[in-house]
Amino acid sequence: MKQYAEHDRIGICHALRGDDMYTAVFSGGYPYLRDGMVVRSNSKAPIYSYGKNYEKDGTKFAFFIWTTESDESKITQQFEQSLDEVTDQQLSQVSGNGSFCYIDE
Amino acid sequence: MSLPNPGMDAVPFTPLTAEFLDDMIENIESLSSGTGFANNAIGASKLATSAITLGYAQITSDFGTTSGTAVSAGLGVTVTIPSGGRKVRITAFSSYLSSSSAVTITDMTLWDGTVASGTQLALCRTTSGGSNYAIPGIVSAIVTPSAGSKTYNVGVSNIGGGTSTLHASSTSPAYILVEAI
Repeated sequence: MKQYAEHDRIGICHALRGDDMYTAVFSGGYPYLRDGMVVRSNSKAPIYSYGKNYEKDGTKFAFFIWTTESDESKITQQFEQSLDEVTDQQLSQVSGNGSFCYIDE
Repeated sequence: MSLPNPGMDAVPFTPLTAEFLDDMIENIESLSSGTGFANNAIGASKLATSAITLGYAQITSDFGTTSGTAVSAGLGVTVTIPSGGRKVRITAFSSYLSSSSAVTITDMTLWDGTVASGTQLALCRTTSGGSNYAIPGIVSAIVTPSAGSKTYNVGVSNIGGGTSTLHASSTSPAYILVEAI
């Protein structure tokens, strides 16, 4: 079971309710995995979560990432570059609400 | 959208913070109170069949009387008035009223309770220019009754002689309809 969000690892999940870029920032001790270690965000190094809907082969899904990168445009670029890496098997894996996987799995 | 916190979303690992949960609860409460629904969000198929039509009854045979006092036309309906103080419209319709005598008044009346001894809510008066003249009969009242059971009836009376008739047939029933509006 994946207990913590992983830093800079792109995943896919069921499509979000909104099509705009989802962004949230956590600065107050949010735990996440970075290089295999659990670290916590703080006000000087907050962790951001991003999510955005895409469509591939007629299937709508969302990319998501937890990162310390604050530049939203870089994240959008990363998502778009990752589109080709998403497999049909992964898409079918995340078709239900609450399911997700990392695209490098 | 009228939710107080529209567009709530989450990606995997989004923590359920107190703020997030509060916003969700606020959204749910707004649906419970009704303020959270967007305009025109509720389609007709989602309304209970009794939400608007509280009652309906019809007759398919003529009813005639010589009485100068209103008598029941056999057209009545008992309904349950919902709480909340909505207005109620009662409508009674007959394709036509007539009298066997010329220059006779035929009254079609609407009653809260028993005809003649209850409370008259409305009247449709027709005066025939000649015997068996056909004049459409429609009577309607808007009331705001208390919640609970109510019976509404249609009465007919004749002033001036002859027989007054409220007409109804299988192809043109006379009816009473009670609607919450």
